[in-house]
Amino acid sequence: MFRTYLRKPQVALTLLLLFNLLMLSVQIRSEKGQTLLNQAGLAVITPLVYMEHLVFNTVSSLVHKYVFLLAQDKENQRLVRENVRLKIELHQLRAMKQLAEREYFSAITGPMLYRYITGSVIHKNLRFFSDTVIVNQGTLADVVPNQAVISGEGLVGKVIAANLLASEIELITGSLASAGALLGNSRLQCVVRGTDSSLLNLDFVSVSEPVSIGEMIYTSGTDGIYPKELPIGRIVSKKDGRVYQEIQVEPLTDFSRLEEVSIIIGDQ
Amino acid sequence: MNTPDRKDSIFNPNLRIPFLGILLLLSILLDFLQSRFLPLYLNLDWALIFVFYIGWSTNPIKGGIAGTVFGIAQDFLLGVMLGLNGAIKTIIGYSSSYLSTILNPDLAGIMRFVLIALISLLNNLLLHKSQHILSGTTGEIPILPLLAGSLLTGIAGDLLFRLLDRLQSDPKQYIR
Repeated sequence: MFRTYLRKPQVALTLLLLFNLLMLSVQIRSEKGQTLLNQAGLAVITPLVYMEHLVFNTVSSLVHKYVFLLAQDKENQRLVRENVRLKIELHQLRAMKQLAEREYFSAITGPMLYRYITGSVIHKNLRFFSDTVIVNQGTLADVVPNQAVISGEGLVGKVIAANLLASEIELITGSLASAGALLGNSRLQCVVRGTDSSLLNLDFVSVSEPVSIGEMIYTSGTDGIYPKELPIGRIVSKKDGRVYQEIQVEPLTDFSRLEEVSIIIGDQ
Repeated sequence: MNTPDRKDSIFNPNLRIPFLGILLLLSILLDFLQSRFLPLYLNLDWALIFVFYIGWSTNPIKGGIAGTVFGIAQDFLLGVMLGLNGAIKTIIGYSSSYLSTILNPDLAGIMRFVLIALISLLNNLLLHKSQHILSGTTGEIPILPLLAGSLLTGIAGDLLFRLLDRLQSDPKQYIR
């Protein structure tokens, strides 16, 4: 009888629509920026990607250590992490230098000094240049949603879900991602927004504002997520609109080659 | 309204599931390729064409199920909220089966093109509006690219209908 009931087209349509609406409802973000689907998906995928990462790394490591160069791989990994750490410190020092030149150094250096942990990207979404990646650092390492993620080159995105061992990162190139931004030369505050492509849009820059191709864009620190003065990218094209300019920014981070990232877990 | 259940055996019984599977894979492949390499105005909605074809050629339940499966696959591929295309395509698959009973099932090319183009436009407008509402964002709907995409979808849909009709194992089964 139940099967006969299911074969009624109206019942089937209602069930199918309910299924789709359920899928949609679990993706609406909570105030913490986390969704039930993110959490569930991450919980399912974490052991799999960990295993994949472990197996791949073990095999690769064995080959490198015993077939190619003994212990060279470990040294290389240490140098990569060291390089990332030095690049981030360089960003911080450059930012502080810029502020010091403006004579209000002591008042606002706080937001630029942060604690971070470095993690490896263990899984990339199908759309490799945008959307999300999974990193092997989770709540055990104090990672929680809405923490900023950076690479040695610049801004990467933010954490949108985390479990004990892994966290999901929404890349700044995703269509739902945005960040408060500053023009490098004029210090005008604006908003940088992902477009689901390799370029970002820079919004709210009026047509009267002088903007040059190649100009650097930094985070403004006004969105409550990203610390101030993180490099985002360079302007690659601009066009005058009615009120605002239509500006495109090329991120400094190469998302197709993202291997190591740093998650900012608090102030220093 | 009568339930259009007279077309259950339109596909070759041996090819029914593989045929639908091939359509799904083809739709995913085409969506994947064009979303990366073609501009928006050249983006045809392949999932819509296949769902419309399945709904038109079978019954509302199969049309609805095809709509959900093809739609969710498309959502996953395009990186939009899962279920957005799924819900819209479900309604399209379901209604197309009823449309085939109301309209002449062997529609002439031009009418079929107009019908698919109109449904595609409606699908695109609904998709954009729902996406803005659900993500809490605002933005203008790129009406011209969508219109161009819908017209091209209409043309591709008509051509694909002819091609898929020819792939039926027994053309006589298709005569209603």
